[in-house]
Amino acid sequence: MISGHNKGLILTTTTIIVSLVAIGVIALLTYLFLSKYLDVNVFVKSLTSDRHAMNLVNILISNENLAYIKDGIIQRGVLDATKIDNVDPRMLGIGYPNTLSIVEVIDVEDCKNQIQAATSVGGVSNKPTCKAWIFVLSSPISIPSLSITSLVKCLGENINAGNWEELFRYTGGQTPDGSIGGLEATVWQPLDIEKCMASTTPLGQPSFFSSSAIVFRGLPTLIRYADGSIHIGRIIVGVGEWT
Amino acid sequence: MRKGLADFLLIAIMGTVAGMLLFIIPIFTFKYHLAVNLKFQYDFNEGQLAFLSLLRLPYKGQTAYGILSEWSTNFYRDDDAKSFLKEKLSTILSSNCYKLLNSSAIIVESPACNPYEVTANALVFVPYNPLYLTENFTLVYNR
Repeated sequence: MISGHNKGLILTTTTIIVSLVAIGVIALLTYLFLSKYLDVNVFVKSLTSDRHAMNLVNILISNENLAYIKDGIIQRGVLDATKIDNVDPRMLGIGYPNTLSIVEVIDVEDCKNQIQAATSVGGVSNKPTCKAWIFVLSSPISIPSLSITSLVKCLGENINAGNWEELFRYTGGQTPDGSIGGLEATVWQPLDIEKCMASTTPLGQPSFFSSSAIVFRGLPTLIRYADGSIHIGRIIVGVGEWT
Repeated sequence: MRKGLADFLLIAIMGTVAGMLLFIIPIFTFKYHLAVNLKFQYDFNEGQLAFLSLLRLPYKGQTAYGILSEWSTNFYRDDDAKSFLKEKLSTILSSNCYKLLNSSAIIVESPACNPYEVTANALVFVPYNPLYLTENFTLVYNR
């Protein structure tokens, strides 16, 4: 028997249960509709930079200024060490507008040999250096008051040689021996780069640095030296974008 | 008066919960969609480039492509060739879990591992095969 005192409470509880069931049905129908019939492509900014990084790798490994050419045919995926030694990023003519694109080519086979040699003589404190190249692709910047010089300076100040394993943890690589803008170049973690991008960007200007496997792991490639020997390498491209 | 207020509050709370659900569900759907697309793109790129790099590597005046091309003839099918393929694959892939196979046999594989993450295929010319001129070789590996 329902007393007059409790009547309102019972009605409210029933309403709540019915409402929850109704919400559940609506949520289920929405999920089924979205997952089955609706195909929406949303490109968030950080993923755009990841996609651009992948596109750049694919273009670079076929670029005539980097790739080995045999009998007039570009050998896709085989980079010419002599060409990389003398590469002028401005001559490549590649780069997305308002982006910072850092390219690293690592001779993984050389790294492996160096590490094995260092280990065999017990040279743990003597860090082996791998053969590697690093350069920045230039691209037009249309954002007022954005200073690439300040950015490069920030990167130089935030070099953390102790963290080389983070960036090259898959390849077993070491500190590259190239240079950027007169700075002794080593590697940066994507977080360092993103931090520098944010701190040197005009207020309110969003910036993103690629964070996918393309930065951490790169893609396989071959490196052909002048003596004809071919080594296994990796090419890593990190793209930072201002939007 | 009190009942009307309770109904109003109830409708407001339910409406808020329903609105949040409708807003949250699409977000999860889209993120999943994007992550899968990007991973697929990267896996495809890495797999194909890894296989391409392997095929291009020189071996005793030949290339790895040549070894696979003549695999059925037994000419290059020895321990040296297998060691070469294994060593190069582990370096290229930076992984110790891989398998290289064709339609009839496993060419090389890493011990005690069942690779499944990334798959790459390549059609290789098999001139000494009496049945067909090309054969599909597959490289499977885990990171």
